[in-house]
Amino acid sequence: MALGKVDFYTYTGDQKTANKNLGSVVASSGQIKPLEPLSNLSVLFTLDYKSAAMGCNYIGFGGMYYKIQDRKFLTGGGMEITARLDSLLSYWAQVKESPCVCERSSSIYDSDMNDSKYPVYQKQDIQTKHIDTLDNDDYIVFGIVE
Amino acid sequence: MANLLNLYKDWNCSKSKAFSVGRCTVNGPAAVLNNWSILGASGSVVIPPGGVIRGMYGSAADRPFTGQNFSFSGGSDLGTLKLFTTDDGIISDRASNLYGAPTIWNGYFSGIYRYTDEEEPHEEHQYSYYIQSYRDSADAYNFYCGMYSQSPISGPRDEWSYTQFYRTNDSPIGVSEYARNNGYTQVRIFYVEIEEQQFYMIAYGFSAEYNNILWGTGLAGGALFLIPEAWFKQGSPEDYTGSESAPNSEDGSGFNPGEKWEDSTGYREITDTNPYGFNSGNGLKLFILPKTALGTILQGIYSSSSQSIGNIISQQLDKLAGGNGNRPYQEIEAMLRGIVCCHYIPGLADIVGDYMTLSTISGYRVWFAQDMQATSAKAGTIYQWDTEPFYIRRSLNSFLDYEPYTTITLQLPFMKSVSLPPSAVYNKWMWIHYSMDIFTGLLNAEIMIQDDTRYYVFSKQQAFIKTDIPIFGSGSNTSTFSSMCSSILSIGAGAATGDAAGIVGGTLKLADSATKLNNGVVVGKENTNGISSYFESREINLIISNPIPAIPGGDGFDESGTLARENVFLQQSGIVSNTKGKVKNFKGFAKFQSVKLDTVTAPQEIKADIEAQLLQGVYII
Repeated sequence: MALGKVDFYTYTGDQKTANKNLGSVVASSGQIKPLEPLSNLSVLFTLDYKSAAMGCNYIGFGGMYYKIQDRKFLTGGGMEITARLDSLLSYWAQVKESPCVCERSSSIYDSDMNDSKYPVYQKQDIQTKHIDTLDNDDYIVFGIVE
Repeated sequence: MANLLNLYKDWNCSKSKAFSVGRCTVNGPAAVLNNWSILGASGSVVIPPGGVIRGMYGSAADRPFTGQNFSFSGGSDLGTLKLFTTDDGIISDRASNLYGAPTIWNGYFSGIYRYTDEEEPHEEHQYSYYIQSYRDSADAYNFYCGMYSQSPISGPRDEWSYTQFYRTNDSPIGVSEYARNNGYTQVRIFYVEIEEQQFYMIAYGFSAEYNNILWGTGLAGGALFLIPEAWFKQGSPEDYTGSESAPNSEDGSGFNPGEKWEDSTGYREITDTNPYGFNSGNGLKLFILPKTALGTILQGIYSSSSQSIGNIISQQLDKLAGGNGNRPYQEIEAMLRGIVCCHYIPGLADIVGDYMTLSTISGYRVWFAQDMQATSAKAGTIYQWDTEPFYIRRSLNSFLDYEPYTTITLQLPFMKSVSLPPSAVYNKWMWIHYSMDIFTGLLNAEIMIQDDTRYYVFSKQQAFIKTDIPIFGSGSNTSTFSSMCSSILSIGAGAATGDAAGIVGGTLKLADSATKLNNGVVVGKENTNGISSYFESREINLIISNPIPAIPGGDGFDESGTLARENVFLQQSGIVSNTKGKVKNFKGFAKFQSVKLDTVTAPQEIKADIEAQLLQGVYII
């Protein structure tokens, strides 16, 4: 099974970012030799050892991007890579155009909607505004019918 | 029956200034043109030849006058000149071309009623007339109402006693501050026509310089009457119902004779069976006094016509002593039954102050609530008053500004606090419209809200705030009547001997509880409601209770409801969005409620993984 070369990346941004910018390829390796059948989400394969790939945490091949979860240096000079598919990044070009309803956002939001996660103190800020004072000059009303 | 004649023009002259109004032209039928009168106090009046001028202030000149042009000239101290026709006429015939150059004391309002009914002598008539004024202050300041006859009075005085004018009180000034500030006055007349007499009611304005003119000041012909009463009804130029635009309150332009301000509410309607316009008798009179005056209420407050209650009691007892009173107790009782209320109302000055007229009785400053008498006994006791408007702004610019997080409470004196839903009051002008029935002691507070295009009553509160002062007790005609009479008799002991101090002393005894009230002690009897109103706060306060945000390291929302971009909570948790769109639209932190991945070509397992992440929250750059 020939899957082409593997590109190594070093990504230091937030792992929850959907459309990660992996930067430039740090290293490339030769043919992947799968140790077991490749699933949709995880892969396990061996590669020729590349010293430049030592500090990398992402790989890409076949148009897909994977986050390296484990690697082993084999006695024969090769590397065993366990990686999981970054599905959002791999399919971002299609995902970003998908219609959706956003529940919470840091860019498009309405502050007047009730937000149970918004933290407030139990104590309250009490303010008073004086409107008017009825005169203290009290009077007596005396009425007659004539 | 009656002919309405309009006073076209009057020239009120400064006492100290020379006077000249120049030439005026009169157009109209001969009957109109040939009958003119000038009312002047003194000074020379140059009359064009051929006409008839009747000087009403003692002038003996009845001079011929037939020309259409005439002029006046005079030196100092001319007083007030009034030019009017004494003949029937049509207003339109006489409304134009009779305007001279006004002096600085020019008066702009007047009206004349003339009534001539020789066919039906001694007929009883009831009449009302509205005096119009479109000057908002000085001209209406001193209102004058008089009556005169073209012919000398030949009958005995008693014949005239049936003729009455009414107005609100006999104050020399006569018109309430409110009325004169609003330029509207109502005068009504009720009289018995006497054969071959012609009566006129003349009402015209004086400048402030003439406020020494009192009721009963001499008019021509000797047809003088006791102080007439007229009722003054407040109104305003906004009520003007004339065919033209409302008159200019500054210079009087735009006024059409015969038109009037009209406010149909609250008038006493005089009918044949109800000649005074009240439901019974002459109606209700309420007097508003400072607390310190209570001790002498019974001395001098009974009537504005200077009949003190002491005098009345004295008269009754004189009758008793003289044996000419067959029903003395009943008469006394009837008199005392006339006292319908005496109670303390806190904060009243604010509520009715604008309507009251200050006078002095027995050395005490007394506020007469005179305007109330222009209306029915019941409706006329109600005063209305607005607080200054106030405005409530949002403070947190988020959902926290609303309930249950934020509460807004309005504290009203004498009433329960009112909870104001923030949604209803934010960014709107509000005020409190008070209505006070000083007769029943009911205070009504309406919380008003000004919306974009209208205002409305948002909430209403009511409370009885009076505290009855037990002068006689509610059972005055039954259980306490005997003790009441004994008090009166003790007064009479002084009165019968001419001992004025006895009257005063007895009166004070009747008002003993009131004296204690002045000392801070309220004496309760059977009709005392309570004293809570004494101790209540008079403050109108708004209390706003806001939550305090506790977001980590960030400011609150600004006026546009936006958090600072660097706010940690915003960056990591976002704010409720509930917005549809495409995934790419939601930059920064985004947690999706749903996402539709139909166009994503990934295997289902991967789609599920994508959806799970989007629903859990991601960052989009």
